[in-house]
Amino acid sequence: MSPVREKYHRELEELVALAEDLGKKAGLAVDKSVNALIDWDTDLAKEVVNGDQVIDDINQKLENRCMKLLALQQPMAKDLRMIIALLKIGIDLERIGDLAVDMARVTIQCQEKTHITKLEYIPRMAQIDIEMLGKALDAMKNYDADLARQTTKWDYEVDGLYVKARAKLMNILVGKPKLTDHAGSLMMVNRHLERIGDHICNICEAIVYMVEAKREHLN
Amino acid sequence: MSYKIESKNLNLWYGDKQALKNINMGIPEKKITALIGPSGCGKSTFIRCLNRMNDLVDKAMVEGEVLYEGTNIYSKDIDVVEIRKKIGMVFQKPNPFPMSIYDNIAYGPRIHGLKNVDKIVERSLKDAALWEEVQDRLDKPALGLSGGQQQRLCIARTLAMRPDVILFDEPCSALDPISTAKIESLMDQLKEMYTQVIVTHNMQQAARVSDVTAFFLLGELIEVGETKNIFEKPKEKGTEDYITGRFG
Repeated sequence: MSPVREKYHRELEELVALAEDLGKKAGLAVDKSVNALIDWDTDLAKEVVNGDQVIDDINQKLENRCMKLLALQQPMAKDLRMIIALLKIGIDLERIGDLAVDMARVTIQCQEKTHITKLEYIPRMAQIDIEMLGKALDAMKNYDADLARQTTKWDYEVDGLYVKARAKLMNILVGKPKLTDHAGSLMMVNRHLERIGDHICNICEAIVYMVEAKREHLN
Repeated sequence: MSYKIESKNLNLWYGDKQALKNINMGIPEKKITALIGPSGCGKSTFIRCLNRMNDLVDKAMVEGEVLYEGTNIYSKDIDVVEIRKKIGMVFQKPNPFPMSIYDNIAYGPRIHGLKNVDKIVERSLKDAALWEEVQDRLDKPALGLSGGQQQRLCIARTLAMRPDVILFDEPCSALDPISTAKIESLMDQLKEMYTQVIVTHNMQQAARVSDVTAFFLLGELIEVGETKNIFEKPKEKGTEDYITGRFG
């Protein structure tokens, strides 16, 4: 293989590494934002808000590199699918980062730093989301479409927890109108964690497309 | 899908060297079929079999069938000139005759005793998207045209014989991107009336212009399918390795 093509293939591999870095940082942001909420740790929450620029920058770098390869190398077949998939994955990961920032703002903005109810579903949802994201990144790195498919199964559990948490928060809203603001914020966190599961399923769909050229709806 | 041309168990040898190995492939009607593959893979040899151009090559021996509208063009009773009239060819390097633009187009119709040569010349140049550029200088030497214009002139010359099929053997390899774009749009326009086959080393060109793509390697047809599928999700690893540059 010519040195020019070798460089191109190396650049393709670097794209995956960049997407993996982006994914790890987005996952960490979710973890920190939920922990900040559990412990009312404003500093940790601010760390998430301030760290979002790094996630945005990595995603932009990923996009720029994809565009460069599209423009200069005219990729075909699996290379083309990889670049298209990574562009899509980047968008979902960046969005996960934004949702983590939204959740962190709840901790920063809430005046009374006491929980209106024991947080049982939200930490569990966050834990599953983070595990799903880790598996999805492994699937991406190892071109493992089956792992991507399996990973999406966990989203059912996230959805189930979301419904339970919503019902619990609705009860609080109805019974204690004074807690509307706080319960509303938790409702948003609950919804964001459910959406993060959906974004991870989108990522898994992109991985299946990248590896097998199949368009499957996995959630 | 209806095929205009079909090769069946087609083998070709140049002396001892087998250049085509058992090629079975259909050329769909009024579509553009691209033949791709590395140098020496047999794609040009194959396209030249489709109008018996290999008859002109010493020591070339063909076995098998090439069916044009169901008739084997390698049958003994076939009129080769008539076949080449129906299945025209445009070559890699533009090769206008050293005569005027008009005479280049009129040459074939005159030889075949066709009438209304003026009309044929005008229609052919219009169909080849060259009329606007040369209508005021039809009596000028064709060799004074640019490379891209010369190539369109050669296409017009082919069209003058009202072929059914046009074979293009790397028609843009000597042209700049603007002339290449003109030839590609021309091929797209001609699709309504003609079946076209193009050999190209430029995979982006194959992806842009063709409906069907066939990948050849070492004299074998490795894969043929819809162009969209070949370039997005080829079935064969050899095809994928070639189009993604992981070859050799």
